[in-house]
Amino acid sequence: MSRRKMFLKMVTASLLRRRSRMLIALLSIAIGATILSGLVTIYYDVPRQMGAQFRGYGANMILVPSGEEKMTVEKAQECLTVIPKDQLLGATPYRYVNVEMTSRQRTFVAAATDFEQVQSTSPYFAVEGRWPEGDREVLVGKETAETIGVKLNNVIELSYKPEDTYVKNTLNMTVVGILETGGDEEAYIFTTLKAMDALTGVSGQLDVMEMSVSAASEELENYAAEISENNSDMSARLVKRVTKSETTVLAKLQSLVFLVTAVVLLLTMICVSTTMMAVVSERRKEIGLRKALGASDQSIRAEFLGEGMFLGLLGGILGTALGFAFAQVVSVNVFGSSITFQPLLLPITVIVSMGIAALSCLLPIRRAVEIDPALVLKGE
Amino acid sequence: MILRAEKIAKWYYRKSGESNRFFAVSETDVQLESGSLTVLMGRSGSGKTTFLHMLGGLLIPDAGKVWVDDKDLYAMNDAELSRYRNRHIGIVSQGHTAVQSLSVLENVMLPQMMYADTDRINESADEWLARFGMEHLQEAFPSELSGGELRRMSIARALAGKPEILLADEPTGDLDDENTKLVMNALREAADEGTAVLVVTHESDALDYADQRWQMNAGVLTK
Ligand SMILES: Nc1ncnc2c1ncn2[C@@H]1O[C@H](COP(=O)(O)OP(=O)(O)OP(=O)(O)O)[C@@H](O)[C@H]1O
Ligand SMILES: [Mg+2]
Repeated sequence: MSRRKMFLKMVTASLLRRRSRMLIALLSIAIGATILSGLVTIYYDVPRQMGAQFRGYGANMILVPSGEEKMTVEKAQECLTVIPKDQLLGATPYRYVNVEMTSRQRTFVAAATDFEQVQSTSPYFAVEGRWPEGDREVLVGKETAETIGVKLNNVIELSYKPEDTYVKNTLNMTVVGILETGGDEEAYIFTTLKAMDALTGVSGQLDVMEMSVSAASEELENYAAEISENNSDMSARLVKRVTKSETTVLAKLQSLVFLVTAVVLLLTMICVSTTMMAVVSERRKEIGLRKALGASDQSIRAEFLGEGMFLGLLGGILGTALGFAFAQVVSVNVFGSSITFQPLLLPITVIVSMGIAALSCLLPIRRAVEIDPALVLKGE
Repeated sequence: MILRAEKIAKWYYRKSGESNRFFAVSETDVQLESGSLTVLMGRSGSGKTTFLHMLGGLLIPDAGKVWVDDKDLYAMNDAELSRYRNRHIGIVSQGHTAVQSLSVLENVMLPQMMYADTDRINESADEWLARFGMEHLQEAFPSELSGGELRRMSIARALAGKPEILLADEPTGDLDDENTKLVMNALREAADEGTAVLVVTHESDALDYADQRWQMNAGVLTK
């Protein structure tokens, strides 16, 4: 029989004899590792998940010309290429023109846009009636509709006088929807870009491009900087109101996750430490005898540390699997989308679990090393 | 090889009488030599075990030094001293001691298994067990043994390592006459082969085997 075999026999026998204790220690490490790997998964996945949720609150980046000049549609499209397609959820062009409503003798702001894009960048826009489908259909902001007394399906005449002529251009439009947003947009009349081109006689001009980009605020800033740098006549900015609240909520959520993980790991440590402490006092006599027979403190330390790390290894592997399942359930139930397994999580969880187990063993190991062989030999 | 105790003493604190410090072993100078068997007798509580533990590197004296030739035992660090004890000192303790998860034979071989240098492993473990009439118990576990069997197992464990110093604390306390003879003969033989043997005992029969006789009285050793 070799030395190693004998050592193994002693360790396994002691593990087996203390099965229930070891199971408790293993279980607590596994639970700790589960929470760790589960929450870390969520931690890294939440920005993506939350980003999608936040996109419901409107555009988070706008593109405007930096000088007095208006920007062209082509130029705006060119700037958009900086942002990867899968991150660009929507880009809505706007052109603002003061138009006159002939029958009321008043000027209003008409916003020409792409209605399909509006619905993706401003999903909170509520329309009574329906969205316009053709160039002769318009949305009227609620405020405007009330002041001028327009109703659904009314026909209104919009007119515009280009600066260099004396002749007004006019268009008859059908009101197909009343827009409610809770913001300034309620004072506008919304038309398609084509209708506006026809009304003004000038085409392809834009005032602003609103974009909804699925990215963390840092990434957004990088995109904005890149666009502004590449195009001196353009300026891309973040919509602070949206990006800031997104960042704050994420930061809070992430620190909560961090806190919970830390607390759970602390509890794990307490549990493992208590269990190992009990194991040491149960094995007092044996430890004392082995010291008397010439086992060094170092070898006693190594043995307990080895036992603890072994538990950490098992618990870590178990916890990674359970943690992924846990994160998956949370993700599906809370965010309605599934997550992919991050392979890096396995080594991280295992290393942390082993570290936690080793830390938990420090105090019990000290107890074991302090056992006085002379006391044990007297046959107390 | 000479094991020399130089003015070693051990005291404990106990609330009694005028001074609360009491000497378990008062300042003592002794010497154990290779090839001689020393018997230490004394009443219960006189300090015999305390003394033996100090000689064996298991209990740090409060005063004095223990030398093995010119090596100061307690000047070594834990790793060195552990290893030294493992290689050179055999101890038979007063209490029953065994690793419960190992068989009797494995228990006897345990000290030799502790360090990786296998050159020291000798196959005498089973021979010693046989000599003490325990060959049929090799595969048994300590919990299945009687007190006397456990005692003989621990004597076999100390002898199997062929130590240079052998310290036995009441090795025959729970043995019948026949086994006592077996054990005392074995210890005598070890001494004849060059081991320095110290036997703590209550039994005056042991004196027949002794080269040296010491007496312990309330912590004071007389030769
Ligand atoms: N750790 C300790 N703390 C306090 N007092 C102790 C300690 N160990 C031993 N003593 C005391 O020291 C004295 C000597 O003890 P020791 O064990 O050496 O006696 P002994 O001669 O071996 O007795 P016995 O023959 O009964 O085994 C005793 O009075 C005991 O009470
Ligand atoms: Mg004693």
